[in-house]
Amino acid sequence: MSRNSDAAVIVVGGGHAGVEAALAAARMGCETLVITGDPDRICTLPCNPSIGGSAKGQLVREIDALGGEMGRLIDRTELHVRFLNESKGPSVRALRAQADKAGYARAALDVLLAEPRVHIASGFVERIIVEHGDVRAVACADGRVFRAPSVVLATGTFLGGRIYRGEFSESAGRLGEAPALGLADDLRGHGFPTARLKTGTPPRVDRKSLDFSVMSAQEPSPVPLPFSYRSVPCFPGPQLPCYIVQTSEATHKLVRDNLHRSPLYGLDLIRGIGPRYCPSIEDKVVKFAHNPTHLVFVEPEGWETDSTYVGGFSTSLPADVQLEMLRTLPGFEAVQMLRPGYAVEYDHVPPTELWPSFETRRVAGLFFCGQLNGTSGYEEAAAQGIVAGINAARRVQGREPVLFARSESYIGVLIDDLVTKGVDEPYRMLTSRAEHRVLLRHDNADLRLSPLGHAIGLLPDEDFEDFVGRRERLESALARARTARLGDAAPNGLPAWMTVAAALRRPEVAHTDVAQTLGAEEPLAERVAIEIKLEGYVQRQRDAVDHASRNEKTLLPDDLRYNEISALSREARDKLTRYRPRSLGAASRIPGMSPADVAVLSVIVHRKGGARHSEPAPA
Amino acid sequence: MSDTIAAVATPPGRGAIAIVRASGPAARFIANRVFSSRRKLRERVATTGHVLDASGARIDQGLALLFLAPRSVTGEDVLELHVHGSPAVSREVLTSVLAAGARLAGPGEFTRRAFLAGKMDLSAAEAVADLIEAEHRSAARAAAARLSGGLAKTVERLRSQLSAVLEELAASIDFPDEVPSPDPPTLEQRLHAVMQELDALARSREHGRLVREGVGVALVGAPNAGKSSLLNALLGSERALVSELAGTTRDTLEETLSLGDVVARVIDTAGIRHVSDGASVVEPPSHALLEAAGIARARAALEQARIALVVVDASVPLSRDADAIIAETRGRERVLFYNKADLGRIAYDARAESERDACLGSVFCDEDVADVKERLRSIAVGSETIDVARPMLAAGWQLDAVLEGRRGVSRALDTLRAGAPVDLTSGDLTTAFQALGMLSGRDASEALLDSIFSRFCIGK
Repeated sequence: MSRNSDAAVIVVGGGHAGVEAALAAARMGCETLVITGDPDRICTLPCNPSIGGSAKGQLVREIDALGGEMGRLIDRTELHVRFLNESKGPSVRALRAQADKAGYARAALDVLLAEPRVHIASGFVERIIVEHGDVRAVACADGRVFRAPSVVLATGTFLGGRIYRGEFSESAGRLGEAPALGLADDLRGHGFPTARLKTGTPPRVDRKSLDFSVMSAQEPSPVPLPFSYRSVPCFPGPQLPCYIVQTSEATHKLVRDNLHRSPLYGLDLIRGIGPRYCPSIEDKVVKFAHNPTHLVFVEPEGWETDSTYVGGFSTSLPADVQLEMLRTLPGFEAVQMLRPGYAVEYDHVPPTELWPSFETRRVAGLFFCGQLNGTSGYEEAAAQGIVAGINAARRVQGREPVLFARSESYIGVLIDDLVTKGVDEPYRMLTSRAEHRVLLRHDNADLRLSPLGHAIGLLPDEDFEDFVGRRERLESALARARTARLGDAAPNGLPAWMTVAAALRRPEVAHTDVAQTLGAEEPLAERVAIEIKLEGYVQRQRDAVDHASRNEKTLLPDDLRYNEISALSREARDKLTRYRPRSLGAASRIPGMSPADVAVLSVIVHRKGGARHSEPAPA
Repeated sequence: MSDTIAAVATPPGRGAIAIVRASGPAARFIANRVFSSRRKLRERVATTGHVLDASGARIDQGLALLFLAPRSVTGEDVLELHVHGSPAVSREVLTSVLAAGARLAGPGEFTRRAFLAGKMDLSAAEAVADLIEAEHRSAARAAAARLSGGLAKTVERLRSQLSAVLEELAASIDFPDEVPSPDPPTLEQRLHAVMQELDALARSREHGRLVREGVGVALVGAPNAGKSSLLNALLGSERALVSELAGTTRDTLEETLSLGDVVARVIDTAGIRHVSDGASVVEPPSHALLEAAGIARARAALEQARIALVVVDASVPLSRDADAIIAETRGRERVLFYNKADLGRIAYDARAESERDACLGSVFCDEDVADVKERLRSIAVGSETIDVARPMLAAGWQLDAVLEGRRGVSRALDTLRAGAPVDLTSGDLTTAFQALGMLSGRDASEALLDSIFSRFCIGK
């Protein structure tokens, strides 16, 4: 490290994005300084107590395959885990786990403290110091200045954060935690636009005050299901059920009768846009008035706490109304509310300000990740964090940024969606956003990303060797499946001469039916079965990817002046100037670009003395 | 990796010659597939031979020219096929080239490739860009105009049915606790209904083409069977409306005959023109000449037409020529007319079992002639009447889009019927949805999510 720097990489924020960013940079060899308001609140789970879920679970697997931490953290602290979508197909199967919240945060802090190149400082960053377009340092509210060539901002909802509950409102990043007001102004001073988004959290209640006998239980998996390829399958503690109840007309009436006290409706205080996939109970009652009931999910928040999360019940109505509403739920007649729900409104910077490396276009060396970019969700934050951390480190090392393709990972879909389309509500990952999802599976995240993770120095050698062994076993088992005959062990009256692969192609044949013939253990046999069952679909998808790849590889020069290209439609000129897509493929995905615009652009680019073609991420 | 594009390079309509051009790495391969000649194709040497269809049957006689990269108009390997300038021929040739591995070129695509290959002046870049834009916009306008009626509504309805299925799938996958998974048998029914409608649309393309281009009818028969008389009788009072399209083909004459809602293009081998000596001879040539060339000519005419109109003299025993021509048309769409019933019916009565489809009559009897016409019409159109107001696909690319949509739905149905998990249908259904989107000019991706959130109350 040069004498002029306090660290190679500074990470501002200690949430899921900040922690993955810091660990990635440090593991890639950079001295990394994490600056956070309260070092005792690293990686809290301020909203729902769960990690994973549809599409999010795949993100966690990808983070793990690259060498990130989220998967191992949840494996060490889960109190309920199960597969979602098992019957709907291997391409959409995903893990979701409930976490012991306190344990999760503790585990994250332990990992951070154990990482030799990570240093933690307490402070509120108020200013970014930029010289000649390059980031130089950050300055804290108390006047301390920390210098580094790469700075990662992962400030979550703290930027200009304001919370609302009924008539009550205060400036805060989270309930009881001070927001970052100066930083928001400072970013605007550097020319970054900001916009308001909104999210919310439901009330927490005391487990002891609930009558679970009238609720329907969701049982956890009887066998351990690790997120991480690197975790030993075992339960970290007792596994607990979750519960589901339903709202009734009594609940809805309370909501309607008190809408005039809602900061969202009657009071009209909140202007930020909330996520459609995570509506408040007010929204549900108003917008889906014809639904007689809505589901409410009752989820434990830990082994050593009675605090219980009331999912699906996010609200910013006044606390007294919240309590009344809770009492209308079955089993909640004697409920003790530990903490009321609230809404939070915060600033985000439109992610179209970013390169796909998450470096900002305005300030070199400055990286943004997490909710600051307009996303929501722990997994989305962590995925951006690891990418920002990797590229912050690569910049320090003088290397090209690592880029992720839509066809290779959900991380790639996330990045491409953010930087080419921007957001108009808090962005959540959904399987339907991934057009190549049959390729982006829970089971094959390691095949897709572990070689990259190792090549850039993030995934340790011993983990990579494990991966290589796993891959070899998979390949030889696959080869065996194509030649080995069922023989005497043929299941369901299938002929003995049939190959294992041919049998597996039949939907009714499961991997367990042929595991013996295959001579493969449980997780391996299942992977073989998935590969074979999906073969045709995967091939069709790969053909589509190949077809589209030419446009993805045609890079658009940074200095292209779209406004001067008269053949482009006005809308295309405006959008291209605003979003500055990296490739022709990215340009074609910007809403409003017509095929003619793309064709014109392709002609222009090639006129510019031959298009540049991107190379795969350098090893 | 670049693909190979193809299109008819000459202006639409009838000219003496049509050029079908293919450009791209597969051009040479395509040449070997669709063109047969005695001499091997050499670069930049015009070679005569036959253009073949996908089954290897001859479509037309013509010239092939091969230009190898980079010495070609696009800088890629280019194949040019020069064939007779009838729309039917050039369409068949293009179909064959597409079947051999090319895809239909988009608007301005040849020009664009030419430019990219540096075959055009750099200063022309903006002009090229303008051209592409103009072509695209006018194509889009034209498409919108064509789609403004019932077709657009039909396509939108089918799209919204597919979209509903995709939404339900996506919502049940992304919010499994809240939205139940669609039930496979019901899904299957819904998709099946969509597929039937797509089938009907694909058939409508055939109707649209019939209305616009007419159906090809080859009028064949031994000398003196009464081909010319039949043609004259068929044309009857419409004679004045008939345009004689001399020169459209080299050895036959085309007459246009109205069959009510569709038009037949009758390729008349009766009036053979001898161009070799420069003089036109409209009278049938001598019997000896026909023995040698009659069958070959009938065959050539039959290759260009969909329907065979075979005329046989019923009043005398079957001649060798007549027998050969009957044999040639057996098993294909034909009207077999035993003429001269007023003189006798020996040949008709002695006809073989396989010629049961024949009809007996006389060109001098109006009812018999009307019967021949009705038979032609019912073969061309089938039992349905063509309702011009019903949605019809007007262009090949529209049919491509419908067929791609159909393929997607059909694969999704296969997946469901095999009992595979429902999500495996999403890829194919999305493809189908997008293909239909091309047809109505709508982009799909964003609309889907909006729709999901308006239909389902989800989230916790």
